[in-house]
Amino acid sequence: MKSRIYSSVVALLLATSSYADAQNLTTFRVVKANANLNIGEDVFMMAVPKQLGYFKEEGLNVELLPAQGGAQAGQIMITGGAEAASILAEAILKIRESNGDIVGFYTLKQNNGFSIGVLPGSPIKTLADLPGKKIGFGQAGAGSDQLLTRQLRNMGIQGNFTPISLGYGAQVATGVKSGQVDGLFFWDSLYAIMSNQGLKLNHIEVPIQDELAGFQLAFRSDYARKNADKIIGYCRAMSKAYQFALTNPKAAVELFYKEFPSTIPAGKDLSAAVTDGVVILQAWLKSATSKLPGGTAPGIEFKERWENSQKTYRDLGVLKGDSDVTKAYTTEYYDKCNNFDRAAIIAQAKAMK
Amino acid sequence: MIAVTNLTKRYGGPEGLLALDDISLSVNDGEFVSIVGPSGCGKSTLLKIVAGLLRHSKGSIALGGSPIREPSRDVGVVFQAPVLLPWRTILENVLFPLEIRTGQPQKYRDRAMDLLEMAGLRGFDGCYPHELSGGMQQRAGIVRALVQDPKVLLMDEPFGALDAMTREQMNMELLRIWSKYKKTVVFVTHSIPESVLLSDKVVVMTPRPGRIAEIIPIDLPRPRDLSVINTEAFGAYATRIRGLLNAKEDVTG
Amino acid sequence: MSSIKGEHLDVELEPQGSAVRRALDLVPERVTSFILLVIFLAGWQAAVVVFGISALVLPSPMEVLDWLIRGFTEPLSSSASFWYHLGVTAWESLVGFIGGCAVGILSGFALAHWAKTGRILYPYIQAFNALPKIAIAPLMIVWLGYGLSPKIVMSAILVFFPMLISSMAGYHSVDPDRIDLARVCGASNRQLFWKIILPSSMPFIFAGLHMAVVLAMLGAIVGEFVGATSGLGMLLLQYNNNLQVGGVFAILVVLGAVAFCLSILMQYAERYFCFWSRREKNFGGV
Repeated sequence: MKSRIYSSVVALLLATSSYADAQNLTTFRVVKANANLNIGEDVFMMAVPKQLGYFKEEGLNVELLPAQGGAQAGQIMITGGAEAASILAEAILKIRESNGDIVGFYTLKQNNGFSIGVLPGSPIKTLADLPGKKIGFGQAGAGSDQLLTRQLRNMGIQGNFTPISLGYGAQVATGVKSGQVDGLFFWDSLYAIMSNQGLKLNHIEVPIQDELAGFQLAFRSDYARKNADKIIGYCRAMSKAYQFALTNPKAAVELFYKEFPSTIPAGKDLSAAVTDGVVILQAWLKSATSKLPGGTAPGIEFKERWENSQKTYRDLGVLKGDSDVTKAYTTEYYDKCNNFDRAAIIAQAKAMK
Repeated sequence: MIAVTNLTKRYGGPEGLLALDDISLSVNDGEFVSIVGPSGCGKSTLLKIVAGLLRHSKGSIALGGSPIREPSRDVGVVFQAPVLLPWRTILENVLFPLEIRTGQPQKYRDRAMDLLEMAGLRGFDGCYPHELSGGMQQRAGIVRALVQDPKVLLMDEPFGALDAMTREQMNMELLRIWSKYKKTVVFVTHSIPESVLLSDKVVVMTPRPGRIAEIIPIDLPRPRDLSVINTEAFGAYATRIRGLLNAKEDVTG
Repeated sequence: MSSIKGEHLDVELEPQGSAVRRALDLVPERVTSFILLVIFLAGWQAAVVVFGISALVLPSPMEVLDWLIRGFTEPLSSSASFWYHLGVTAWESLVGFIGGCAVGILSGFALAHWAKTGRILYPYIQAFNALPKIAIAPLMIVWLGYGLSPKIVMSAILVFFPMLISSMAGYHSVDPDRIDLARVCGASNRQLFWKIILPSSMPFIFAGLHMAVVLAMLGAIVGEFVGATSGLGMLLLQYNNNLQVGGVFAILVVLGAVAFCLSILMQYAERYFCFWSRREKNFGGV
């Protein structure tokens, strides 16, 4: 109760201090599952809709807040520090087991985009080659290594690999280059960044990810009950931007750099930076729209995948698995978020050079 | 001026360390009294009680008729070390007691400068203590004790750390200042010749627990100079005092 | 070497040393330091080029320079401007420093003065200090939000302990004779504190301040690592996670330069407040 009062005060202060009030825009805060700006969901969650005025059309002034991981993002949203959060589906299930009020309403990424990355010429050619090898993770024990083990078992592969924690940063690249690890288990955009810097890897898919619920945008249900219009407003602006990015990733990257100039690399001319950025964005979008039936707009989610997530992570010992999974997500907002003139957005995107 | 009657000081409760045992002595107005004794005999303790820094356990002690309960404006103290505050100039140091008591040290600037000149420290008022020699620092300490124009000056082995030549110089300085300003002085020392040279009477104390062995009036003519050290009368006093102290204690001279 | 001239023996008392040594003696020390820096940078640049070291492992000095130039020439309103982020971090550190010092010094004196309370509380303070502060940082974000306050609090927490310790030590270091002097002059407790205890403690307090100044910045940066939208710490993390190692180096250079300037400032401050402490001569000298 006290923390709710406290965070309400904080929220009030944040709200009243915003310049937006002078323009009659409502502040809407989204806390995201990572601590930094990078090319990926930040492009359409913030940069494109802000730059093209989509937020303003919905009467919103959006703030994007960093957090150290999805669990913290969820925690911050639940305590009133934000109106929406990006967070992994399994993290939503975990928080709900502690009676946290958090509901996924839009799937930002169908497939989380993790794959095994190995140097060309590596003896690892398929997942069956993994047992006995050292594989690098961001943080061993945080969940991704258990998921990989599950994948192996599902395919009937026995035996274990050794997970090595590499952290996040340049040491991921040097870890695999130097042979400290035999392969990496990281995500699409990071591989693209490394590829831009000259590290080309071969990839082995981890298809279990297509069966699990994807990276979510979530809200607090008691907030959504009274503020559905703001949720829809944000979500719709974001979906427009998503379509924009799919249509013209180059323009989307340029808008991203315009919104966040600190992400532009120094010592390079802008067009080279944009080209690099497009590589990263396209890698991200590829996983994000993986297995989406043709013509389906992004954001959709399916009951079977949620159930699979609960079952899988229960088997991995991460979840107790006894809560009602249908309460963890809602598909009500999907149509409302995608309720806009898609053709116009596509035309707008194509028209931008 | 100072009346000490059956004074006893015991540290740490009824079974504690007995530092002073039944001390009685009196100091008249304008007198120069020395207290001599071996290490640990309690002479510094006695001085601190007169200064109001320590409370006595039994007996009584009075200054000008009033019992001593706390440090008095009428008492100036010169410590063994000069204890000058190193972040202040000599002048600021010397004005320190008046700064504390009145909050308006500037009013007494002229008096302080005069005293400094008199003590041979003209021109050093703007210097910092570390720029002065030990003897000069101690002179500043004496000026500080005098600046509030006290009736009584208490001095605790003030020249103990000086070399012999400087010490003799300072003894002469002190006599000059004393005869000029007519203060009452209680002077604690290790040195037998020093006590005889300076005082009107010498209080000889025994080792712990401190008692008074004898109070010896010094009947040498004033003004005195260093040549009096070589007289027979001087030697007789010194011998007598040394005898009382059983010379095997660490007493110089 | 010596030569006998007549009845005199001419002896060269100083051995001459090598030619290099003699040449170095001619050049002022500052110039030598600078030349050393130039040689170091040139060597670094050459190594990166000649050995083809990947920018992910070691960026070249020219690349780091690109990041520095870009960062410092961007307009203040741009989120790529180092000035802007430096200002944010500097402000967080400054407020944290002042707050931590004030609370630390006052607490230190209080705990030293009221020794019994001090002894009772001290184990708790020690236990708190042993906690890795970096673990507290995420809690700060949850409690205090995303603004400047969690960073300021982190900064103040890191500053608090060394200032507490050094002011306690300073209090105990006061020469008891000085306290007697003040008492003899009739000083009240307040006068005793401001005129004797505080100035006497300055050298000890400055020993703590040298550390505190660096810790203040560290606290702000650790706070930024955990959740910030601005500040050098945030930028450092962003560059790191996007594998822009040149940017990481650039920020490290900036942080090093700032820490260097702060330490110089502290030295000047110490020289002003504690000019007396190293030159206090012993009584009895000439």
